[in-house]
Amino acid sequence: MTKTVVCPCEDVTAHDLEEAVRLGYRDVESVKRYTGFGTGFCQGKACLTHVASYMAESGAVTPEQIAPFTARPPFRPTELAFYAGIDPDSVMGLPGTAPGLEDEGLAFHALRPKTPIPERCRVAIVGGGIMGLALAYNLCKRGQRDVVVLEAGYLCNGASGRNGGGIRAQWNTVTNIRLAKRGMQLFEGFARELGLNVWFRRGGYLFLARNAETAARLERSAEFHLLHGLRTQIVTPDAARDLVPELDTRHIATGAFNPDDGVIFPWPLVWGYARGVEKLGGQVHAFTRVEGIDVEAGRVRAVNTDRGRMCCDVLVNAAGAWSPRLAALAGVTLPNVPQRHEICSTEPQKPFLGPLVSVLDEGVYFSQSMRGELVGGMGDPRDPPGLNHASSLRFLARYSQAVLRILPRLGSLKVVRQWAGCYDVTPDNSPVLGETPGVAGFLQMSGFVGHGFMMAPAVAELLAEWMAGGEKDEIFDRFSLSRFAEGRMEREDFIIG
Amino acid sequence: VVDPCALPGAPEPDATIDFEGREVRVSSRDTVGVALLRQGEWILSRSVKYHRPRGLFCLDQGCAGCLMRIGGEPNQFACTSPCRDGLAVSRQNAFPSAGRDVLRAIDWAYPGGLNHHEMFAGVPVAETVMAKVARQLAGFGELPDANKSIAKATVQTTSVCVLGMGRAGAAARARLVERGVDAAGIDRTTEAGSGREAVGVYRDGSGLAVVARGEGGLSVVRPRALLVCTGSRDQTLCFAGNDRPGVFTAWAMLQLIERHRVLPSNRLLVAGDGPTAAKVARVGREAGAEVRVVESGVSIVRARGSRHLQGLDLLHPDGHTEVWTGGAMAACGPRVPVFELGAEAGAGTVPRPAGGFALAVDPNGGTRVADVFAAGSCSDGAGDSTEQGRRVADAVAHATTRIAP
Repeated sequence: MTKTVVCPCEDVTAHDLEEAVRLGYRDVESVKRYTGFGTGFCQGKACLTHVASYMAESGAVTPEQIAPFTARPPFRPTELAFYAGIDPDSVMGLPGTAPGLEDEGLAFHALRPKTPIPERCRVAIVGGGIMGLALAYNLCKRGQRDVVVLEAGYLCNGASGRNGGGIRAQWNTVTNIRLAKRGMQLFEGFARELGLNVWFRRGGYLFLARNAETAARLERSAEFHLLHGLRTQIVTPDAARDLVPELDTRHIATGAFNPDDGVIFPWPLVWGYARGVEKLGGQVHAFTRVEGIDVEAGRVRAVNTDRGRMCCDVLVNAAGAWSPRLAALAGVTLPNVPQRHEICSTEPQKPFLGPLVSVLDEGVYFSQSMRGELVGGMGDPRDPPGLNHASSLRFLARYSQAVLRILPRLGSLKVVRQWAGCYDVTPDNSPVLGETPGVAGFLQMSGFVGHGFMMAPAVAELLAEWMAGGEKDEIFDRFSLSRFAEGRMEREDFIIG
Repeated sequence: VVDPCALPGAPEPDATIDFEGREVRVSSRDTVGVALLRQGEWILSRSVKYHRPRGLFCLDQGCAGCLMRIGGEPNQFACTSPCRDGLAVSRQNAFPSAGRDVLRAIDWAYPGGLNHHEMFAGVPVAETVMAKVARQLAGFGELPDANKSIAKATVQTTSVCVLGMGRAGAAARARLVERGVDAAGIDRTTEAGSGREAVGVYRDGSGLAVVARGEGGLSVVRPRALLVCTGSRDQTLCFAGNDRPGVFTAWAMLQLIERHRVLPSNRLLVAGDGPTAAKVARVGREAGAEVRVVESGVSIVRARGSRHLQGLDLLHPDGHTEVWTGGAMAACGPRVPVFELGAEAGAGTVPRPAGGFALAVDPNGGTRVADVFAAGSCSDGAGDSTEQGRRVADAVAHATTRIAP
């Protein structure tokens, strides 16, 4: 009744802003994500000015640190059926570099804390995404509290804050199935352990095949899944329509459905692990950029940041798509390549879609979030590799066409926001984990090719166990960096997006 | 306080719409939102989380207050959707109806707000139940009655694309045409803008692309240079109950009285000082309303009225409080620049002392990207908007000769 509504689209109140700043969300991008302001129909037109003023007045930021959150098309909610009318080839993708990333760099530099970082720590983790934060949390839980996480931007700036939240066990290697299953257990228990809701909704994953070759792949993988304890079923086009009532089955050959897969709201996991680290005595430093790594006599000694030098015994590369850049600072070459993937979100509607749907032939995927938005994306084989957070029109055209081909019902659904993140792609679609040949004390935790979010809780648990003196899991040998030099590939072919 | 009333010159009813099963006589010259306001229907929607009553606010497709199911399509802006005979109109996101929505209980039960991140987190059973309930409560509107067919987009190339046909944009485009430069204007509300609205600016391997939406679909405009003249927009004011139907922006209030010839209440409050507030007060008085002007020294503490505005509690600088009674207010605070499309094109922004962000420009309207210019109140350029538009147009004309097609 007495609420002062700052963001009417999402019912964000002045009290919510105060609460967010009190909890330590002290930049516009983080406050946007925590409170949800600016994420509704108007995309900030009614509220951004008030939030920016509040943050300056409350002392959360200084006047020179105030910047608007990234402006993202469309300016007005716009129907998928309109975008689908654009010929994708008339609007090319972007070149490999984007001014967007330089802007982010400038904004982050302005937000850099004025205090120095600790002079030393035992474990330094570079990358404040779910991978690094989950590792830090698991180390703290095992009593290894002398941990410092360094993040160049805000905590959801990397792929952990930009993904579609898909969580699945339908993988094609024993290891990935094992990690995904353990991850799901951890997601289920996350709110109990860390106090934040993650809205894990197990609506299943429905993979669809349009041609016979892909259909055969789905059938082979379903057999493999049954052997490894998954409930994946091959479904006919008609049975697929029972799962997705509006499905146009004319272009569908077959489907594979696992009812235990689902979708999650990614941001609270990042915040939850960060809070857990700080509560247990570890440190998380956002807006802190690593500029160099000191290696002496074949061993990591320290990281140099824009807030000073920090000695460490162990350095962990959890920088996602930035991991090859980070490794290069230590003279290490990773085979990983960053690859942009674009994604968008529509207006929220009442529940109309149970499972996450993905057409394996073309890489499109979409699901309905807990808030009711259709969230989905699609990779583009013509997109050049490179770090790139810019959004393209070509993506919207291709994505809309791919969605409407199988769900023409959704044509009037309006896109409210599009954005991009980067996959961290390796030659065999498997991660790079464990020791680095030639540089002692430098551990790799990267190369997850777009599925790092769902794998992170389980991988972090295993790595922390090993780092804390426990057993070394076989994944740290199987997925070692040395496998590329030894010609020992671990191919996973069930990649989407 | 009396209900909204028609002013002389208001359009006569010539059509009937179906409003939630009730036949309502309307004018086909009215928008759905205005037609319903004439009938005293303040509540056009319920808010997404607390089910607070919402209605017309900005009249410019810039908020979610008036989103309704119109003609079988969810989430349409009632403020701009035209009436036509037989049109079905209903409110969404409410149980059993938006007029009397029992889910408003969420608003009463959590006066301080509800932190959905932490609510019932990790509480056995409760968290599972909450997740199920939350999914049903979330979302706004339901899928449409019919499939929307794919509308083929058109492609247009031009030397310059001018976004916004307000004072700066119109002056700039006139100047460009005068100099023989091919310039396409885009503006939803004016003929010079061909009734299209820019919804995105992109950059690809071949340069800039502006996406504009019209009635029938999208057009992709490929200019060599972009001139952003997107102007400024009104903001609401922050006070308890500031989202109550009956609170309007200054621009919306002027539109209602001058264009639509409807007076939302016989007692109006105008919050703010400066020429806009003075104009709204004058227009309100001329329409026969009793107008109270509240200048910036007096704070608005809270709105009265549970379903729509019935009054405001005011706090004077000397500490004494006052209750104003009336049915509508116009927020006439400082307008803020519309910077978003310029920022998408790559232009930088600067915070403004009065609030909001402006596109940062040099004296010629140039931004930090060579092919993007800005003029008028969307930028931090100095001087009159018309004069700025002309000046920047000269710089743009000069630049297009240097930017390869």
